[in-house]
Formats: sequence, C-alpha cells, structure tokens
Amino acid sequence: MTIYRSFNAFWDNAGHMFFGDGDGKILTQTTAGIDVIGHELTHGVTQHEANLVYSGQSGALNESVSDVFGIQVKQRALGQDSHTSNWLIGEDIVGPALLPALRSMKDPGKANKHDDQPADMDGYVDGGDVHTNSGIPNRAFCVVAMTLGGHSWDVAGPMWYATLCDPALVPNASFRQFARLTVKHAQRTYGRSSKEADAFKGGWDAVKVHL
Amino acid sequence: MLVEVCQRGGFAGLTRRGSFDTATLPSEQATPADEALRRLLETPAVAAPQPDRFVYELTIHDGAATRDVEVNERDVPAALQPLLAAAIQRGEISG
Repeated sequence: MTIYRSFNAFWDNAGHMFFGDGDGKILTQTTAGIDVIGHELTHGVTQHEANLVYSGQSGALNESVSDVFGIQVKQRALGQDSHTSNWLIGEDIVGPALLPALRSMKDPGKANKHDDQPADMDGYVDGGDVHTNSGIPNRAFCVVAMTLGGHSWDVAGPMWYATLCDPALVPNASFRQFARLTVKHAQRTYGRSSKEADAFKGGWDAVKVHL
Repeated sequence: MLVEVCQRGGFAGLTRRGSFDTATLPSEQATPADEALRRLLETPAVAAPQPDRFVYELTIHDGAATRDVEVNERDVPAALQPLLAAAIQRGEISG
C-alpha cells in the first residue's frame, strides 16, 4: 500500500492499491471507507479473473464489480442484510461537495447533486465514463439481493463471483453477456425454475438489460 | 497555447473542467509546457488505463488551430502536471 498525494484512490494493475488524503472538499481520507478498500482490492481480482477492458460496457462492468464486492464488505462489517443496508458507496470518504455519498447502488443518480449515473438502460450514456454507466449493473445486483432477502453474500454475491471467474466471460463483455452468465450460474446452482434464478432475471429486467 | 481541460474518472467518477493559457506564464514554465503539448499532439500516449485513475481530455488552441488529445493521468508530462492540477482546482464540477 502506498500513500498517494492526491484526492483519489486507485489500483495500478501491478499489485498496488493507492489511497490519497483527499482535498477536504470533494474527498477526505480515502482509507476511511471499508467499501472503498474492498472496491480497489476487487479491481485486482477482476484483473486476474476476467481482465474486463476498462472502457465501454466491459469497463462499466469492471467498475460495477468493484462496487458490488465493496458494498458486500461494508454490509458484512456493519452486520447489515440487503434490506438494512443503505447501498451507498463512499459515504465515509466524501467531503462537503459530494455529501452524502459518491454512488447509490439502490438509486443510481441520486447519491449527490453531481451524480449522473443512469438507473437503467434508458439512461445509458454512449461514450460515458465507466463510473457513470456502472450504475446500471450496480442496481441490478441490488435488486437481486433485495428480492432474495438475507445477506447479499448468501446468494447474489457468490453468483456474481462465479460469473467473474467463468471462462465464458470475455474481456470485452457487454452487460447482456454478463447478465446471461449470472442467470446461468443461478440456474445451475439452484435449478432452472428456482426463485433464485427468477430473482436474477428480475434484477436485469429492472434495469432493462434484456436477456 | 490556450488549453481547455476536462478531467474525468477517478474513484469518484466526477467530471471537472478548467483551463490554462501558457501565454500568461513566465517563459521558464511556458516553453516546456508548449513543448510538452506539441509532443502530446504528435505522439499521443497509448498505455492501458489503470482502474480509477483520472483521464484528461485536452482541447488545445494553438493560433488558429484547435486539436483534441486524451491522456491518462500517469502519462501526463511533468511540465503539464502542475498546470492541469491548478486548472482543475480553479475550475468547476460538471457532472
């Protein structure tokens, strides 16, 4: 781990996490958020398991997977289930300009006054930053976990991880390709017509990613 | 050269905009900055992006010519780093 003189946190694709001190206005100490640490570590996992290309839909998936596992780390640390969690990313590291949080997985676009994340494919931003369109798969995960109830790491998390590790997940995967693999793993694990498999279909349907 | 700077990405995923004009700088800063901008336009860096790092989109006005170039944070030439940082600090959040 290296202390980085900037108001950012990132993964360098060479085994290092960097955490900046923040500027006090936009971000504060970036090590203060356990979800942020989970997010950066997950970039390392994604690099080695799926190597999702960091632009377009695969880039937004790369970002989203980091939020998906970052939020599970936070929920686990706080002892929260999918209904008691606020599904906010970065609430412990935002400065006054971005209160109350950086991103909302439950309500993308509503985390702060500058939040421009779309909540479904109707708002997909062509050529948008990977941190913008990641709101769509973020919300799909949240809907799946809330539909199933319990902890997000009981069913939703493991199926997302199985998808990330699936050799069928190509580096330039689209949202649809990723979505279909999550359903495939849910069907294999719980049965084709199980309530779990239906929850995954429902999650992607909610964000208008058509399987 | 007048440079419009758009910074996107970073963990926060914000878009921030600002500008600087090398014509307003002392020559010991302006000369290396102008040289670095010309090199960027001639041979844009193509290194793979690192997750959550900043990306800079520069619109460079040089006389009558206007050209765009995109550069990842780690590929920003040393002569431009303080100028980009100051431009963004003075600028505005736009999304």
